[in-house]
Amino acid sequence: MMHTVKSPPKPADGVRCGVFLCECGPKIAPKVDLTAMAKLLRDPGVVTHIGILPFPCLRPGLEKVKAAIARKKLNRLVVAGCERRILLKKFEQELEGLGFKQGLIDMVNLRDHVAQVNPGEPADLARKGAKLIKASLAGLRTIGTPSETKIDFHEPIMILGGGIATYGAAQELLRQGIKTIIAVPFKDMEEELRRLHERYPGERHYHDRLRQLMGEVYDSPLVQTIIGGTVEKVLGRVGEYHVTISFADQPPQEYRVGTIIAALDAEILDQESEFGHDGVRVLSQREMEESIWLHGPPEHRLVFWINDVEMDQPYGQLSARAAWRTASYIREHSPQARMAILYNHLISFPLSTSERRRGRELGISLVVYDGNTRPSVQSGYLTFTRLDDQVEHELPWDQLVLSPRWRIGPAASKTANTLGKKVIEGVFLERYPQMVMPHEVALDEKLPIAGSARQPCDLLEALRQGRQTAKKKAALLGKARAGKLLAVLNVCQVDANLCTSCTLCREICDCGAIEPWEGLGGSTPRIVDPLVCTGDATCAAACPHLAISSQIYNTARHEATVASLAQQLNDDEVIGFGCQWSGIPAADHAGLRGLTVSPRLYLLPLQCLGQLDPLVMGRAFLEGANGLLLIGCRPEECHHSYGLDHTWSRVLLLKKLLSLCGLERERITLAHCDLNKPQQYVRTVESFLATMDRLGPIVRDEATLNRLRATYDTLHNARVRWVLGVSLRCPGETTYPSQMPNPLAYDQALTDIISEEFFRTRITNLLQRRARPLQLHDIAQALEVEKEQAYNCLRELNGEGVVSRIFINRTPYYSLQ
Amino acid sequence: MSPKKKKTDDLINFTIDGQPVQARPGWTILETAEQYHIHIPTLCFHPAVKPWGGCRLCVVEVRYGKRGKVMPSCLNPPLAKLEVFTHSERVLNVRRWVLEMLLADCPASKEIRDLAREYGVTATRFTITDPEEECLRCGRCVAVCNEVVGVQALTFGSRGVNKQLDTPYRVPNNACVACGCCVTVCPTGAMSTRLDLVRGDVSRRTGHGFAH
Repeated sequence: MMHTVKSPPKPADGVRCGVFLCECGPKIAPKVDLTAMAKLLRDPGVVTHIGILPFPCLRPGLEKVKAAIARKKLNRLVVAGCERRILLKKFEQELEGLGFKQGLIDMVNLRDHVAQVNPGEPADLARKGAKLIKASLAGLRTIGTPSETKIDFHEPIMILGGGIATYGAAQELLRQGIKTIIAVPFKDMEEELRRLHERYPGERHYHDRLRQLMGEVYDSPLVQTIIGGTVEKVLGRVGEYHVTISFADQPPQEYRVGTIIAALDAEILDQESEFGHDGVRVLSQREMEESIWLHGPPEHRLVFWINDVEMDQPYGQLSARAAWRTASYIREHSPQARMAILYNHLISFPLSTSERRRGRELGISLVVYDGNTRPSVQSGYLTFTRLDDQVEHELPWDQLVLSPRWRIGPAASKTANTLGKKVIEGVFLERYPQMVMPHEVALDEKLPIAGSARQPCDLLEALRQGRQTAKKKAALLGKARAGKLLAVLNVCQVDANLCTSCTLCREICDCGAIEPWEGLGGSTPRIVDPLVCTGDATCAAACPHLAISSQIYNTARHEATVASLAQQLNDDEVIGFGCQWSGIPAADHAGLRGLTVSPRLYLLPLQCLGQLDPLVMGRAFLEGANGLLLIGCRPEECHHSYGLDHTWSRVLLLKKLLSLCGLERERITLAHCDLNKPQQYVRTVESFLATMDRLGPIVRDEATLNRLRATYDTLHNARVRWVLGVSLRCPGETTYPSQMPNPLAYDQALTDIISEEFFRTRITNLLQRRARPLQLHDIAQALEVEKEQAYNCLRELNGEGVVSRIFINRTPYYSLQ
Repeated sequence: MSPKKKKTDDLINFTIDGQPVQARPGWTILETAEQYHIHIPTLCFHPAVKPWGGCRLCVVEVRYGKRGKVMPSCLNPPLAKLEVFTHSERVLNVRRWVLEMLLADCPASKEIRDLAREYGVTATRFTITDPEEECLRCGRCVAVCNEVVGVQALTFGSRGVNKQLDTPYRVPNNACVACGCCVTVCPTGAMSTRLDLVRGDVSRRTGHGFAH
C-alpha cells in the first residue's frame, strides 16, 4: 500500500482573476494602505487585474467592475471589502450576465476582519490583507467552471402509502394533466368512507365531498391504480425512481416513476383504562363513531371529555374539533340526545363565531374546567372544578367519550423507512426545515409526506397537504418539460470509479440525498440526488476514498487556500477557520462594535466546519502553519447535520497525529462561539494566541518535516479515514462499532490504528525518499525506532506486496515494489 | 451616431459642492458623491438593499436654476447642470433637526450621540420616551432579512409613533435561520439585544432535523 503525496491542485485552464479593493468610505482606506496592498498583489501569473474603487458595491463601482471584466476577460473575482454573507448575492446577481456562475466570486472581509479590529500601521495591515486575498485567489483558481446538469424528470408520479391524502394529491395531478399511479389497499369508495373514522374521527360531514373526490380520481384515465401491493425496494433519484412492488397473488412488478409522494396516516389508539375506558360506557371517539354506524346516533346524555392534556398529548384542539363535529352530527340526527363537551382551560377551543352560535342552537354546552385539578370519573358522573368559582361540579353522563390517542403506526413507519426516510421510533415524520439560507435549501424535499403521519391533523389538512405536495411536484415537472430544471451548482458528486459502496456517506448525510444505484456488474455505488443535496459537503469530508466532492466548496479548494496562506505566514501568526453561522459573524460583529483583536489571526470562511476535511488541517501544518483555530457553533446549534460533531472527531484525529509527530496537541483547537457575543470571540482568539506564544513556532528540521509529511499522507489512508468515519456520530447514538463497549475503548482502538498506519507511512515515505534499497539497521536509525518494531512493520508490508526484500551478500535490503 | 459618441451623451454633468462630477442614468446623487469621495452621512442606506429614505440624514440641497430644495440623496437621481450642496447651512439645519429627533428616539445609542456631536447637537428638545432605546427604526434589518437572506423573520409592528421592530405575531419565529445578517447591518447595535427575541432557542430548532 503506497500513499502517493498529492501534488498541489493545478489551476483550472484559462483562469483570469480580477481583484477589487474597496475603500469603503472612511472605513478601510485610511486604515489600510490599499495602494501598497495592490502592489503586493501584483503578480501577472495570478492576477490579471487589480482595481481600487471607493465602493465596488454601488452602481458606479459595479459599472467599473463590469467594464474591467469585459476589457480583461476576467472569469474569477475577489472583492475585498466587507461581509460576504450580505454582499455576495448582489455581486452574483449583477455579474450573472457576464458569465459569473455561482461560486466564481469570492469576498474577503477587509473591513471587519482587518481594518476595523486590528491595531497596526496601514502598511502592516495591507500585508495582512494581501495574504488573505492571495489565499482566496489560490482557492478560487482551483475550481473549474461549474457545470450545470439538466435533470430528467419523467411522468408518472407515484403516490404510495394509501393514506387519505392520496386523493388530494391525485386530484391535483390529474387536474394538471399529469399521469399518476396510486397505490391503495383496496378500491372501494364506500368501504374507504366506512373506515375513515379509524384514522380521522369526526369527519362525517365531509363524506359526500370525499366521495365525489374519490370518484373523480378513480374515473380519470390518467390515474393508474395498484391494489394491495407492498413496497419492496426503491432505487434512484428524484426524476427517475425504480419502485418494486410485490403482491400476494402475482409476481412483483417494477414501476419507473418520476417521483414519489408518500400519503401516510397515523393510527388512532383507544384510551387505556386509567380514564375508565371500557369500550361500552366510556369510549373513545373512534368507538363512538363505530357505534353510530352500527346502532345509529345515541339518544341519551353524552359527555365528550377532551383529556389530551391529562394524557400528555398536544393535540387538544384537534380532538376538540372532532368532538364538536361528532356532537353536532348526533344532535342533528337525534334531538333527544343531550351533549356536553368538557375541556381543559389550557386548550383554546378552536370554534368560529358562527360555529359557537350553531352550538348554542343545538344545545351543545361547552364546559371549561380548571386544568390544575384533574376531573374524576365516577359511574354516571364526571366531577370537575370550575375555573371561576373553584367549586366542584358534576356532569351526569350515560356515555363518556374520550379523546383519540394518536400514534405513528408500524405500517407508516415501515413504508417511510423503505422509501428512504430516516425514521425514529414513535416520532411523527414532520421535520423542521433545515436552518439554512433559502438559497442553500435543496430544490426538492426528499420524499414528501402528506397526511397525519407527519403530525396529527384533520382530514381537510391531510388533503391540503396532498394537494400542496402535488403542486410542488407538478411545478418541477413543468420546469423539466421546458428543459429548465437545472441542478444547483453547488451539489456533491460521486466518482463511481472510486466509490466502494461503504455507505458511510449515507449514514452521515442529513439531507438524504445519497442513493444506491445499480451499476455495472451488480455493484451499487452511491449517487447524489442533485435535487435533494444541499451541497454542504459534510459527507464529502467523511468519504474514506475521497469519492465525493462538491463542485464549489471542495477539499482541493480548501487545501489550496490553506496552503497558500500557511506559506505566507510569519512565525507568530496563526490560521483560523470560521463557520458562516458563528465564527465569521462573530468576527464581523467584533469589527462593528469597534473591538480590538490581535492581527495575528487570519480567519478563513467556511459554510460549516463540517465541510473541512482532515486533509486540509494536515496540509496547513505541512505547509507551515504553527497553529489552527476552528471557530464553530455550539454543538446543539449546528445548522448543518451535526457538522460540528464531525469536526470534533476530526480535530481529535489531528491532535493524535500531532502528538505522534512530537508536537503539542494544543496546536489545533476547536472553539465554540455565538454570533451575538463578539467579546467572547475576542477572548477566544486571545486565549489561542496566548497558547501559541507559549508553544512557539514549530521547529521545522528535517525529521519534523518528514513526520508532518507522513501525517498528511496518513490522512489519505482509507483505513484511517474509515475508522474516523464510523466515529462521526449523531448525539443520539449510544452504541459504538464492532466490539467496543465505550468511548474510551473506541478511542484506544483509533489511537492504535493511527499509530500503526502512521508508522507504515513513515517507512514507505522513507523508502520512497531514499529511492534505493535500505538495510533494516538504516531504516531503524533513520526513523529513530527499535529494530524490532521496524522489522515487524517491514515484514507486514512485504506480505502485502508493498515492500520487497532482496538479499545482497546475504544481507536483507528493503525497497518499495 | 457612433456608439462612442452616444456613450458620452449619456453622462449627466452636474456639481457637488462646487466640484464638477459626472453620473450615468440610474445612479443616485449619493452614489455619485461616494464615487468622488464626498462623504454624505446616512444611517438607513446600505449597498445590499434598496434605498428607502428612512433616516433623512443624507439630505442634500439641490439648486436648479432659481429653484432649490432639500431632499434625500439616496433616492434621487441627479439632473444635468444641477448644483448639489452636501454641507450648506440649509442642509446642516435639517440634519441637526433630524439628529435632535434621533437623540430623543434612541438616546442610548452611542453611534447616534457621536454623530450628533459632530454636528454640534448634544441635547434634544423632544421628549425622550425610553432612555434605554437604541433602535432608530431605520429598517436595514427588515430589508436585509427580506431582500438578502430571503426570509421574512422581521417586520415593523404598529404604525406612526408606535412603530417598532417586531417579529410576526411577536414570537420567535421559525422563518429565522439565525444568520445574524440583521445584527451585522444594524447601525446602532440595537439588533444585537433583540436577536434572541427573533431567533429564539436555536438548539430547539436545529433539533437535528426532527420535530419534537
